[in-house]
Amino acid sequence: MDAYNTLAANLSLGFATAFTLQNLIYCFVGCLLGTLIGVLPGIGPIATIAMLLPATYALPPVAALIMLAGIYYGAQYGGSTTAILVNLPGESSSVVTMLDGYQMARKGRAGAALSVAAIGSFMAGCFGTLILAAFAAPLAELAFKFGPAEYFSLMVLGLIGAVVLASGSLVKAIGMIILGLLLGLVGTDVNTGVSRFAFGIPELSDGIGFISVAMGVFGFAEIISNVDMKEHRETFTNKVEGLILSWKDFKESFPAIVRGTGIGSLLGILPGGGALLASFASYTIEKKIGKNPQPPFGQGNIRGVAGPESANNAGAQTSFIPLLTLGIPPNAVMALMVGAMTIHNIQPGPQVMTSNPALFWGMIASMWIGNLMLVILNLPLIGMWVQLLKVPYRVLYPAILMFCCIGVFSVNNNSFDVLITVLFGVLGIVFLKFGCEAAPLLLGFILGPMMEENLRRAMLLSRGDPTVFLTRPLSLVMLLMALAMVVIISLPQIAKKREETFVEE
Amino acid sequence: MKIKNYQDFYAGLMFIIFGGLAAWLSTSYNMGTGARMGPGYFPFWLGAILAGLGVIILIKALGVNDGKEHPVSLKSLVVFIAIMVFSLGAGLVGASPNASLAIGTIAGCVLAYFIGLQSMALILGAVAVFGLMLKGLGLVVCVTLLVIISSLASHEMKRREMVISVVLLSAMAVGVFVYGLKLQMPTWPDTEELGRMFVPAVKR
Repeated sequence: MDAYNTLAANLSLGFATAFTLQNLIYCFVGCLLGTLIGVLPGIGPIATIAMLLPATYALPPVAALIMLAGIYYGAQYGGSTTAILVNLPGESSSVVTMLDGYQMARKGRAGAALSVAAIGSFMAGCFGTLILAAFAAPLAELAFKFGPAEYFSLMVLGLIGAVVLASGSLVKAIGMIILGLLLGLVGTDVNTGVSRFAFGIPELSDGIGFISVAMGVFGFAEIISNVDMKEHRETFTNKVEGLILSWKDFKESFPAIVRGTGIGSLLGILPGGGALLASFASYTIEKKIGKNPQPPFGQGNIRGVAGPESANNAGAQTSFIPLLTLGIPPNAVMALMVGAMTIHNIQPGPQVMTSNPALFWGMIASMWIGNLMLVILNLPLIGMWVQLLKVPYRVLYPAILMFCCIGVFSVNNNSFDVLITVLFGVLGIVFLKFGCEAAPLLLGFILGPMMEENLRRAMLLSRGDPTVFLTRPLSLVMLLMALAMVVIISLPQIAKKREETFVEE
Repeated sequence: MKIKNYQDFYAGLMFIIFGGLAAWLSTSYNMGTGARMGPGYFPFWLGAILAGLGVIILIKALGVNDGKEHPVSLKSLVVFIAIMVFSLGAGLVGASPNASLAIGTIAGCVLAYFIGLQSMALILGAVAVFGLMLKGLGLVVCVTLLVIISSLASHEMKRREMVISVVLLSAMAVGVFVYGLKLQMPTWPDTEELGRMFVPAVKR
């Protein structure tokens, strides 16, 4: 009862914060932008958040974080619209939605597909927010027991988890993490003041800006590879009707929404989880459940839209849990949120909740409000988004580039950052060509300095004895979990299964 | 020795280069001891592990070709190495690292254009020009250049759309960023700043 009362008190503080006019406006702006980039294929939340970070300098931290969070979950909503109407993934997590959503649109049921996606996302978003509110406090409590050794092991676990659950080659992904960690170390070493890997360039002694890394590797590389692709869109944009779900559709999709929400919430918390993995898992499960689905999956089954769409939104919501409680970002978008918080002088971690309760609970409350706004933005205003889809990519990308350039330039008001971003754009293309995933690099980049700091402290406390990581029980458990993940995933049978899961697109 | 998987082969090579470079550079910093780590300790071991992983990936990529070829254009590798060597090398030697970085980037883009990576060269080149010239030429001219150069990368580009984009986007950039967000950037060309950019640094 006591816990319930604190939760209620916390939430009321949160809603009081979120319901100020200013925060409501930024929440709305975030959701609107998120939907916009979600709808537009070829630009993802990572690039957008990187692009808009400089614009949030002037804002109070609460408003800035509310807006950035809105972009992330807004993008999950918007992505489904494109997947259903154009058969393109507006967002990587809506790849699965294309399978059945687009088929529904072809059969004239675009309206039903869109509403079930919106309703599912809304229900999942609400539930995800509740989970976040309920679990944040106890987890943060646990985090206070962590010493440097535990933090180091936790980061190892987080990074390993991130690559195990991601697609592609495991060794290459680990390589990308280490490369990211190394890039994160560029600049002045905080302990000794020595400038590392700076090559005498004064701008580099502050380290490489994470905005440059994110925008180059994700934004520019994405644009370049999209431009090279031939454009082919078959759009069902003329009229979208029947947004009201029939009772039969609702009865059929409701269990899928519940299952999707559950899976999504769980996978969101795991390191490396988040929206993408959640939607894949949910689709696989929906396909396995129930005999003789009518129509079959892949031909417009409504459950194939309801499950994954709920799962990706729930996952987007709960992936904030490790960030807000432990200060460890579980995926690349959350890594950017760490950057955003640091810009505003907030050290992410368990202390945020106690030192900055209005920010913490305000953000959580804003997520619920944001989810409500998104339903309104997405269903009645669907016509507007449909019009937007008619804008060809060749007109869009120069505009996107312009926002990126101005964003990067304005961070320090110098051209150096822009050039570094260009170099990372080249690297991004190289990574694409060599089949190396860039998301682990960004995670490593953010965690690099933190990891070194905790390693140093742990080793100093143990007087140079490396067994400290194995003798402290919490640390040992986390390292064993990381090891177990690597071993399990390397087993031949599982490795094969894993490949199949990710190929199935 | 045959290469089975080109993608992995080059990825491995890349990790070896980066890892080796990092470990080698780290040796010039103080290593310290386990209990009191110097600035070289962590990056040295990271670099060594990265190079090791690179070797593993590279070896696994060798072997009999199983018929499933992954043709990766060698060109991108060349460009990549050229740009890295150009800009970093010039930065290490040059008196002004920033200037050499700028020259390296632009030269890399030009090089990329002529060996068949047009879209990459045009898009990144447009960005580099924007970044380098913004203080001198101002937002309006730079947005115009950015839109025109980057639009050339698309095969389906239409001149009319480009003109409309230039007008709309530069108006929007000035409206949102200069008047709206009040960012510190010139709207119009600044002859004094331009002069400073092209007069050799000796004068300063």
